[in-house]
Amino acid sequence: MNNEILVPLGFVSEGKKVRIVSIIGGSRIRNRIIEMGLREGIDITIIKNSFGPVIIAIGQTRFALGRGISFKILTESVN
Amino acid sequence: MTIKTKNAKDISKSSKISINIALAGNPNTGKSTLFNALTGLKQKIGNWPGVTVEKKEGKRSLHNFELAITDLPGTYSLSASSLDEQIARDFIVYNTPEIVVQIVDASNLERNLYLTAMLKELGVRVIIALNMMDLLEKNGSTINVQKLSKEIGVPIVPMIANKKIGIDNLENAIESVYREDQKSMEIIYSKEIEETLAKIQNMLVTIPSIPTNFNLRWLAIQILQNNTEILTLLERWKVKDTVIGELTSFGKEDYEAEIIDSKYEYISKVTSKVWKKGETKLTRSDLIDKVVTHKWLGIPIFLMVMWGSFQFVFAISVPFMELIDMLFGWLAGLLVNNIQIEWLGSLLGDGIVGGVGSVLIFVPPIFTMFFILSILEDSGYLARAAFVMDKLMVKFGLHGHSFIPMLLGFGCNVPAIMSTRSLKDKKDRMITILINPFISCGARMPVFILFAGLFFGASAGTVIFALYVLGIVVAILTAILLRKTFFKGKAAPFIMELPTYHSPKLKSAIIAMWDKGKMYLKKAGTIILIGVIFVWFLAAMPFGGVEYGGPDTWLAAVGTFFEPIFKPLGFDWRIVVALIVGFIAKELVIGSLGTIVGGGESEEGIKSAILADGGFYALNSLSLMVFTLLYVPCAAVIGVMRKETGSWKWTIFSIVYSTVVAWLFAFAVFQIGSLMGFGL
Repeated sequence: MNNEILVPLGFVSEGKKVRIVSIIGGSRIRNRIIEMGLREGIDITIIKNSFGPVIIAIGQTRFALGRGISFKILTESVN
Repeated sequence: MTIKTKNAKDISKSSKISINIALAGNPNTGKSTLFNALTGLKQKIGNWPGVTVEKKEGKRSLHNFELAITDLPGTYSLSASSLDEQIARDFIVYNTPEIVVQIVDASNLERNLYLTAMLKELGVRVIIALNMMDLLEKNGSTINVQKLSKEIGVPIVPMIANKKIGIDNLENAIESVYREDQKSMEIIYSKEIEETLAKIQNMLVTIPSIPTNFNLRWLAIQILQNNTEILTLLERWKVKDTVIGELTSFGKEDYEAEIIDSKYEYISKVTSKVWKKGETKLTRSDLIDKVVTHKWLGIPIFLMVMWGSFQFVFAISVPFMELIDMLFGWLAGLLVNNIQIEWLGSLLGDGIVGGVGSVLIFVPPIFTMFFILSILEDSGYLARAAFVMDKLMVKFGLHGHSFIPMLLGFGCNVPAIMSTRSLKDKKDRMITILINPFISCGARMPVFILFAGLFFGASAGTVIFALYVLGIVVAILTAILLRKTFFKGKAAPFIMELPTYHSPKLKSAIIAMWDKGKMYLKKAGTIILIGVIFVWFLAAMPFGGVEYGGPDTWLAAVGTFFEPIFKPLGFDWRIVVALIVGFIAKELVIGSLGTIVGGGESEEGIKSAILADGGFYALNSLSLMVFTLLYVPCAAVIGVMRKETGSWKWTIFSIVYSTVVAWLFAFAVFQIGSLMGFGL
């Protein structure tokens, strides 16, 4: 465990690249998210985070995440 | 010996060997494009729920083989957490295709291989069609295809499906894979899991009703993952209770997360050796999204797109509608006047040509509606519409995903209800299905156009718009009500892939328009034709002496019987008859009114007859429109609702609920209007 503070995805500002550290919430939901490719350890870029769902990029794919779920994905910044 | 060989050759020449192939893949990987390239049949490209709602099959000849190709719904996984996934999984389990061709987006290798791992675990032979190879370089990414193929034991065919590059290599791969067995992909789970799997497998082996060739390891993994859908499978074999009983003795826990993680670990290990990831760069699509999903601009843009779409639909279709109207009016008149046998002339002219004509007249707006929806979907905008509406939908206990079926409902509620299949959460899906009938479909438009045009003059457009809004409001109120009562709980989290924008293809829009529109034509030719003849029959009976459609006919008797219920809404027996027939299809409302009030071959004829009649006026036509808007759309919707909810209970609930709601709203409109002095 490093000393870095974990930030919920919903609070990460646009343009930033972060790594998913953990997904909290029920196992059913977590498993579905992971199966879509959003899982611990991968890097994502925040494309848009201002109103409504958050848009993130994983490689060349773009996902829209509802605000509720975006606060259940904890991230750390990537240098 | 020689004769035998000759015979065998002859047989293979005359009858080709059929290879059953399933096409699987994540959404937005170009699956439909590959399917079209392989079979020559055309479909759409896109990512809203419903792109492959219907099972699409096609054939392709290959030397001595005939490839029977089934297009499975686009899925990320086969864990059967949505109906789409379940359809895909069940097809592979029960129809046992010889080969599954999985289309993989080369730019998203890792995520796509997760599905590969699941397919391999099922024990089917897999070929990977590695698509969009041309975009790899652009992103600064590379894949060592040969090495990857060796690592996972699956043949990989690089291709660019939209340019038809790589199709012949795929054919070769299919032929050679068909002749050989394929190694399984060995994903080893933790010791604890493997031991439990072995125990479950040992138990399963002893159960005689499980088919001997069934992949027991896969079954054991599903059981271990606590997959609720697998219980139905066990039930089919009548071993559910035995298995569940045995499982508790193993002290089974929920291993799903660990099993998923192990698969990804395996995939990461493989891809780290063969794949150089590209950089994430801001694309043109991202820039468009910044505007289209903007805090202030998003909703105005959405409304503009919708408004523009409606304008387009009307501008294009009105001239065609007038043309069809003229044609059928002329034809009906010709038949009535020139056929010597009076009843036959009346049946052909008044009944069939008049009735079917009054339905066919709405082919232009309905076709243009489907055309526009296909363009919106193809371009990628539909997913953004869901995005923009998410915030609003959350307030009603749903989320953005549920918005797309609502939007499709403006075209036709039948495909709209089918498109709910990609919703993961059962409760979300039920609510989305049950509110859909309130979204005013294309078939209700004719009633609005006719009556609003007759009695509301210049404000007809506003009245029609208000009706659409009323439909949406009732849908929303119903959603809130259902969420608070029968389907308590929160909406599932909203996660949706946003496909890259691309310019829509005219050809695929025309094909989509034809594919969906022809359902409407079919309806006109079958159910509506029968309905129209039925109404004509009742309107002409009893034979001899009665005035056609007059107060002494059987039709009048039916209407008069129900009239008291509808009196407070301002309806006389004729409107009642039209509404009863309207249960079959909304198109029949006008068709049967035309029959009853007479003069009803052409739209103009119906109009002047209604005006001359005296039984219709602004207020009761408004309550008629409200009732038409809100009660059961048509028999087809009842059928699809039964199929998609899997429950007669909810289907009947929907019929009763919507009819009661329709009555209440129409009652309110008529009574309040009367109090305000708008009555006759």
